Amino acid sequence: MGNEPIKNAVLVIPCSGIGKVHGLMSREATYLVTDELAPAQTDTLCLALLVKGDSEAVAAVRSHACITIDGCVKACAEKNVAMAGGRVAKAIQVAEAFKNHRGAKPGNATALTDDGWTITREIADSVACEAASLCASEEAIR
Amino acid sequence: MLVSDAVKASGQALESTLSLGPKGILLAQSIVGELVRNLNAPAVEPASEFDTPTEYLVVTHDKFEFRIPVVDYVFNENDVWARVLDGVARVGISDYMQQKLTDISYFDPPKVDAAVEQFGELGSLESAKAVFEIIAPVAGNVTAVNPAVIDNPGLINEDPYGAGWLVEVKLTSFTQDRELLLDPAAYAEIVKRKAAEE
Amino acid sequence: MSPQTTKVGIISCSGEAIPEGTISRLATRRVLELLRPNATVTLCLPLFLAGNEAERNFAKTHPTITIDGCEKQCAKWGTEEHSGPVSSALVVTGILGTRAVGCHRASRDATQPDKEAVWAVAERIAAEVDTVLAETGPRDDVAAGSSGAQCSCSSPASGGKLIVLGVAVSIPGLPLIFEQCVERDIPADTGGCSALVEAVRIYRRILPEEETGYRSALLAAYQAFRSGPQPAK
Repeated sequence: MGNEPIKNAVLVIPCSGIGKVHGLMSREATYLVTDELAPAQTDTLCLALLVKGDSEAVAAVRSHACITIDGCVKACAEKNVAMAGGRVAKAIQVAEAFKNHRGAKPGNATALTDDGWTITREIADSVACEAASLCASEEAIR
Repeated sequence: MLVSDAVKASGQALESTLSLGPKGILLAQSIVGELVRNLNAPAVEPASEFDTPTEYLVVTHDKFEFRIPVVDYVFNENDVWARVLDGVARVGISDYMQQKLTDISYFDPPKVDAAVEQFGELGSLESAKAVFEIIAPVAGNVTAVNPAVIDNPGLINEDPYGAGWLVEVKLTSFTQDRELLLDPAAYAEIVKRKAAEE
Repeated sequence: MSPQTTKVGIISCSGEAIPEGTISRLATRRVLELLRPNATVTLCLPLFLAGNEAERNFAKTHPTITIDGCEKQCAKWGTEEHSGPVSSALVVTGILGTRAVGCHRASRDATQPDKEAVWAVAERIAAEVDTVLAETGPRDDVAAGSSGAQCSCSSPASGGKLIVLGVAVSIPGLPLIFEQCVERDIPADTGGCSALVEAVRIYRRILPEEETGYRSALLAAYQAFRSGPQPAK
């Protein structure tokens, strides 16, 4: 949702934390989902706009199922979407994904390595599956 | 326990059939034996309750604040703390180190009953940023490993001085060890220097 | 106590929905890592908005620049809402104009124009950091008598010391500020507090949570000034 209204059923909202690689992974996983894996079923919007109280952003999270992708346990995206009245259908933490990737060196907050992209793709795949499942259950749009 | 680890340790390849052959049966019996021994072994409980610290020194660098408990904690220069009660030291990493590592995803503990020397290795921690070897602040024998952080290493980030403790060690030479350890104020100076150098 | 080295906080919008948000983020990282690594600290906007005290406190006590992807200026809004006025607010669309057209959100799609856009914005941020540092100078929260400040006629301006919330604060030219307040008939009672604070604010940054301390300290100092001998006009 840049300057266009949200069309698709499920909103994928990352934390985009700038300090750690996990924030970059949350952001890139979101784009993999909305631009490549499930473009017809998903969209994203600016978390900060939502926190600011932008009426379109608030209306969007209240009327679409949301999947949040947070870099870490602080869960900024999940918390802020919930505080805005949105329904968090699934909350994902990037840090959890590392438990299946012992020894991985994902890069830094500016750029991902191959390891980082591998983990990011896995996260994106699971989000896309979740989005498909939400759309299929027709719970996405209230 | 992982069956694949037991296979490797046995040095024997199993039969490649879906039903157990003689080697598979032997291995299964060996695994059962070990499970029974573990069940019958006296439980290694963590030592008496350690209070959660309530007072801290705070070292500030840019936007970061690193907390250091002021009472009962001693540190080595490798950012590992020890807290002693009844001849047992509980060990963990400092707030500075958990922030430096960011989200910890693995804890490789030492074996229970293993002997450790001061400044020897007490396992390791892994995060997306780095692998950190835990340098023992004290000498002794490992008596307990915190099971909560095995399942949830994030506890170390959340509460490094409390619930995120790592290991307990029965002390063998603390009077000597203490001479090479830092009190909170001295450790705070180390943290300031390290933070400024990064 | 010697002045501390000042660092500038940079808060970038996260702007997930538009390419300018990605440019804002990457440009901020470039400034932090390459262009001004010893002079800047990035603050995480999601953490900031979620209530992280360390991020907010830094922005309260250090000069802070915001860089937003678009005119909605979420980073600027968030900083002003939770920490106080910003030293400078940049907007990527204002810096790049039409050069942002054709840029991409996802890094795997980045092309040469994306990279050039990031560089252009990064250099603009770095220049702004330099400007803010030049204006701010080293921090001076400890009484130092005359700070060496000069008025426009190049004569040293005598300083004034206050104790605000337990901290000694030096305000260069405070007696001159008080003289102006006398000329404007600002009363030396609680009714004049707001005017005193606004008069000092022209010369010194006062954070919202410091205001109460400044009001009482300035009033006491102003009352003492008015009850003493007045300089000849």
